[in-house]
Parts: sequence; structure tokens; C-alpha cells
Amino acid sequence: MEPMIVIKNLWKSYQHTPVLKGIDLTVMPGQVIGYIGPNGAGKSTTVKILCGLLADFEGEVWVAGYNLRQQPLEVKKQIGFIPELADLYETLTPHEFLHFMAALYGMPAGLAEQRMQRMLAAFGLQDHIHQRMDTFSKGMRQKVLITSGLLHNPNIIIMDEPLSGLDANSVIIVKELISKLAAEGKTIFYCSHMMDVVEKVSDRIVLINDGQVVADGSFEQLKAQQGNQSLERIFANLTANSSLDQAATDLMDAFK
Amino acid sequence: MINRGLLNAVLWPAALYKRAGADTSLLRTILTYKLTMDDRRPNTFHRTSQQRQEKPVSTATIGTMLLAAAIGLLFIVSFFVSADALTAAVLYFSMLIVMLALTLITDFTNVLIDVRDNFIILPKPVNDATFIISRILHITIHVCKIILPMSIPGIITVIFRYHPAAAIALFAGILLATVFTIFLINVLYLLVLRFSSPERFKNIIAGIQIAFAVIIYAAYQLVPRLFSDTAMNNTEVGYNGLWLLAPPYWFAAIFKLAAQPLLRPILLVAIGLAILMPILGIWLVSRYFAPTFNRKLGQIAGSSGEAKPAAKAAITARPKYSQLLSRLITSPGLERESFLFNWKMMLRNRDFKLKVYPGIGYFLVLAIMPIIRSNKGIDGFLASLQLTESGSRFSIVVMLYMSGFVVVTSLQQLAFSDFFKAGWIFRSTPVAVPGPIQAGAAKAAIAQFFIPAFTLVSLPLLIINGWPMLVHLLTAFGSLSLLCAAVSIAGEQYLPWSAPANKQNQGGSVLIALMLLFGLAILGVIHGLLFHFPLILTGIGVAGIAGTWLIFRSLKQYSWKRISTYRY
Repeated sequence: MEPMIVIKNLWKSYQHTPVLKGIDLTVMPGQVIGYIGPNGAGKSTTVKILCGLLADFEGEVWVAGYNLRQQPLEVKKQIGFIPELADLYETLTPHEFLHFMAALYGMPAGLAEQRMQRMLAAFGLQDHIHQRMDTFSKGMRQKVLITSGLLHNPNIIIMDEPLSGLDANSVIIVKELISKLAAEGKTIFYCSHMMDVVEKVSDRIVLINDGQVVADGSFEQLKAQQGNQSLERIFANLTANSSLDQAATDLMDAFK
Repeated sequence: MINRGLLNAVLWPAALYKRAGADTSLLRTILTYKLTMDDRRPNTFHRTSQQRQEKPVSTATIGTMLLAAAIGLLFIVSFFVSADALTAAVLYFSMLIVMLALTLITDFTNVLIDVRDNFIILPKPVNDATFIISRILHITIHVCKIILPMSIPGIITVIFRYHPAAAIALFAGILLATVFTIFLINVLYLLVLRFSSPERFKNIIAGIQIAFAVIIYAAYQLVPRLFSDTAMNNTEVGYNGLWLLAPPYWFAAIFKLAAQPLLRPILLVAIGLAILMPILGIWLVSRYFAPTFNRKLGQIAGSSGEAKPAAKAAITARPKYSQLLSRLITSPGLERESFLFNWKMMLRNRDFKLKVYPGIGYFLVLAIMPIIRSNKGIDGFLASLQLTESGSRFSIVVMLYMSGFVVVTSLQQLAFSDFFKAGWIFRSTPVAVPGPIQAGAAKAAIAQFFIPAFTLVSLPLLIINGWPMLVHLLTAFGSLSLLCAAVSIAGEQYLPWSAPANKQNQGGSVLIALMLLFGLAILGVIHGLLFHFPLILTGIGVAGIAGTWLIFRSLKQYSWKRISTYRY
């Protein structure tokens, strides 16, 4: 089977400060990758490169057999991106926003209309389709963003904190959706800080720290390597410089 | 320093506050921080200016006070247009109340009623008396910052034109008028909040801010002319009982009595109203309005409230104006979608409107000015636009080409927004050539602003002159379209709404604006010189339209390399 995503020796710097220091990663179709790491580790930068938002990187990236540098449009057609923190045009209605997105993907308007109606209805937003999003709650916006990332039925879905702002029931829907998409053979690249969710949804976990991959494997494999602990603990062992317990103690000591 | 002085002044009756149950040291702390925050907030005037400063504002107080003084300077004209003290003062107080109301309406939401107080101050051990008094004092300080500089030019003028006692009367009138205005604004807020949603409320405030900018501009254009207008000198506000319905009359009566003593019953009634109405206002506000006021205002800030289901029937079978227009001037696909997207965004985006609409207001003021300026009145002005009239060439050309003004700001502001990060959608989707997005956006901006402005000036010209006018309209339309198209490809190309608004990005904008003005002038001169050669004019018009088409055709082919990116 051909790998879906191949990243080779990926480097990226902001003003001479390297953020990614040689990432290597191969992802097979149908895999759900949990991509985790502390703040500033380079998660978002990797995602932005994969989605074509950042073009000036070093190293090579192939998506579904296409080279990102040479055929960025083919790559973008394969990917559905669900960004973190609803950055969307909130003066538009979901109907208008999604139609515009569909036009950018070159989708026929009729197909887009049909899909968005069904998807938004599934999220319980059918009554809000023609309402401007400036009155929407965070969760409602997130649902529109998720719809916008799935509308063109991509083979790869890249999600950056997709559950932010969603209520508990919607979280269940999205988690279920992820496993159904994976069963269909879709590749999912899931970035999050919520370790318990990552632990449950992903069948492979990639942990990066300071621009490098420090752990890569299934949760079971990580447990075998790092001792039988929760993902949260494994994460702390691999990424925290000093003891986190000590930090809490220091905080308490401030009262003395 | 100004803040500290005012703070000490309002905290002077500390014993009184203490008796009311307030903690005076806490009061001082709260007010100090409130004033610091006020200093860092752009004022009403800043918000409608086109460029957002990179540098954080840190001395907004001085800016606000200088602006207030400049506006106050404008009011003194009233003391020169009429020798009658009552007439002069009615004019003065009318201007004062209108300007004060416009300033305070916007400041109330932005500065004075900070709903974050509910989360930050209320959960802390601060008692109600301290909280309420801090709010009242904060409003007092803020109003002082506006009203003191605003009244200084008037007071100085009165000292010299009348006598110091008259100046004291004027100041007393100003204070009463201020209280009365605050009461009016309270009532207005409650009415608006009662009948509209918080989101619409913000739009109303934005509309008022735009009106504010345009009125100031119009005033600076018009007021100097009042000096020379002899008609004003002969008009006097008399002693008709109906005047009692006009609040400025009440406050003017105080001044009249001090400046040119004259005992008339109506003046005494007016003075009575001037004193009673503000007191009644304070009582009404504190008794009935204040309790519901804060709760209502809380809704304004909470934008992420529960969304109500909207009416479903949003899609109508009848195509909208924008859709018809898009079929006419864009090709199907991405360009048309971009046209419709940008059309809606421009109509709905508050920040865009705050930056662009004042410019259109200035255009309207400029367009109306010649009518006011020519002493012939409207009939005389219309007559001067007849093709058969000897001097008509100049007025017609100026009118036609001035309509090109409105496009400058809309085209330039299209690329900038506060939510520029939402531009990720253009980059993460497989858009091969961004040209159609750019062309659709530019066409939307030109169509939305230029077409109405051009129609506005050409319709009357067409009605006055009939068919012979058509050739001039064609010429102007062709050459103006060409100019608009040229402006849309001049300077750096950003995707619509995808760059943050700051000075760095807009470096070239002044140059482009100048280029446009220069272009308008040149086109106008050419048109004027060839005014009596209809064949050549027709040729220019057709060539202009063809050139526009060519420019847009090349814009549609713009590749990603020609688009400047803002780095996320």
C-alpha cells in the first residue's frame, strides 16, 4: 500500500529560529495519527505546511503521491483542513460561507448544497443555516468549520483541536465520526492537547518536542517503552524539563 | 496629569461618599485604573480614521480634549452671525447638544459602561455604594474631559464680546445642557435596546459614528460660509411660545438674561425649564432607568449569546440586485463567487463600513456644496447644468468626475480586516490562479460604490439635458471605469480581507489615492477640452470600457506569485 503522507527531513525557521528540526513521518491510509506536543513544539507549523499555508520550508513532503512543492493544488484537493479556534467570516451565514468554500474547491454548487444541508442537519444546525454566524456560540462555529473541512469528501482530514467549544454530545459525534472516516480508509491527522481524547481516537501517536519527533507508535507500544502509564504521564516524562509535581509544590510554597 | 487633577477634584467631597457607604481608597483605586484604560483606548474620532496605528495609544485623553476644543472652536461662529444674544445662544446650544450627544452615544458603550466590570469588580469584596459611585464619578470625569475644552472657546469669546457675567451664565447653561443631554442619551439607549437586538445595536452605534465623522466634516465646510452669509444676520429667534419645545432655547434664555437683560415671561419660563428638566432627568434616570440599564447593556457585550433560529425563508426565487449585477459583469465560477462573497462582506462588516462610509459622506457633502455655495439657490444651480448654458461645461465635468472619489477607500480597504486570519480558506483550498478572486473582489468594490455614485450624478444631468447628455455620460463612465480598474491593480495585491490593518501594509495607499485624484483631474480636463467634439468623446468612452475589460482580463490571470501574503 502506498503511504498517504510522507514527510522527510522537514525543517522550518521563523526569522532564523528553527521551529521544525528535521521531522520524518510516514502515514498509511486509514491511520488516525494523534499529533501531540507542548506549546511551541511545532505542531501548528507542521499542519500549516501540510495544508499549504506555509510554502517556505526545507525538506520534502509528499501527500497521496504528489509532491507538495511541485503540485500543491493536487495536494490541497486531497486535504480537508479544520483549523483551530474558529477563524471564519462571521458576518456570513453558514450557507454562504460553505458555498464560497465549495467554490474555492471547485465543487458543483448543487452537490455542495445537498451535502451541507445534510451535514449541518446532522449537527443539529438545520435551523441556523441562513443565520449570520456572529450570533453563533463557539461550538456552533466549530461545527460549521468541521463541515467546511469535510464538504469536498477529502482523503486526508487534518484537524487542529477540533473539539474546542463543543458540548459533550457533539464531542461524542465527532469521535464517532473520526472512527467511521478511518474505517472508510480516510487518513486523519489529529492535533490536540487533550491527551485522553488522543489516547482514545488515534491508533498511532506521534509526540514532538522542540521541533523533533521524540516518540512514535501506538499507545500500547508507547506504554511498553515508557512503562505502563497514562498518555498524560508519558507526555510529561518526554517533554517537561523539570518535575511538574515540583512546580505545583512551588506554587503552594508561595503562601508560606 | 489631567487625569490626576480631575480625579482629585471629583474625590474632593470624600466625606460625602464615605457617608453614602463607599470605601474612598477603593474608589480611588478603581478610578485610577479606569482612567488608565481610557488613556489607552482610541477615541471616537480614531475609530473612523482609515489607518489603525501600530503604536498603542497611551495618551488618548489629550487627543480627546484637543478634538473637543477644536469642535468648540467651531461653535463660536454663532456669536458672530447674530448680534442678538438669544439667537446666537440658541445656535450655540443646538450645536453643543448635537455634538455632545454624538460623542457620548459612542463613548457610553466603548468607554463608560464596561460590562467586564460584572466579572472583574463585582465578584470582589467591593460594596454596592463604592461600585455605583465609581461609575458615576467615571462618567463625570469623562464628560468633563469633553465638555470643559469644548466650552472654553465659547467662554473666551463671550468674555470679549459681552462681559464676564455673561460667560458665567453661558457656563451654567452648558452644565445644565450637559446633564440634559446625558438624560436624552439614556432614554435613547433604552428605546433602542427595547426594540432591537444587541447585534443591531452595535450597527446603530457604528452608524452614529459614521454620521459623527461626516457631520464634523460638513460643519467645517459650511460654518465658515455662515460668516459671510448676510441672510443669517436678519433672522432672529423671537419670543414665540413654540420655542419652548426646543431645548436649546431654554439654555439660551439663561445667557440672554445675563448678556442683554430683558424681562419677558417666556424667558423666565424657559429658564425654569432649563433648571427643572435636567433635575427631572436625573431623578428619572436614577429612579426608573438605571436599574434596567446595566442589565440591558450586558447584552450588548455578550455577543456569543444563545443564537435564535432564524427565519428559514432566506432564499427567494427572485434574484437579488447583486446577483443580477454579477451575471452582467463577471464570468461564472470563482470570479462570480468572489464577487458575491465580497459584496456581502462589504455590506455587513462593521469595521469596513466605519472606514469607508465616512469617505462617501464626504463625497456627498462635496457634491452638495456647490448648490449651497452658489447664491442662486437650487433653481439657479440646476440651470447652470444645462448644456446650453455657457458655464455649464465646468460644473458638469466636475460633478461627473467627482463620483470617482468614492472608490478610493473601498478598493483600498478591501484587503484589510481585523479577522485577516480567516483568510486561511484561500490558501488551504486548491485555487490554481487567484486572479478570479481578485477580479471578483475589485469588481464588487467598484460596482457597489461607483455605480450608485455615478447614477446619482448622471440621473439629474440626464433629466435636465436629455439625450445630448448621453455622450458625456458614456465618456465619463468609460474613463472612470478605466481609472478604477487601474487603481485596483496598482500597488500591492492582497487577497480580500486577508491582511491586518496597520500602517506598514498601507504605505502605498496615500500614493494611490493621490494617483487617483491626479487621474480624475486629468480625465476631467481632457473631457472639458473636448467637450464639444462628441465623436471623439464617444471614442474615449468606448476605449475606456475596452481598456477596463482588458485590465480585468489580465487581473484574472494573476498568479500566486503576484499576491502579497501576510504571514500568519
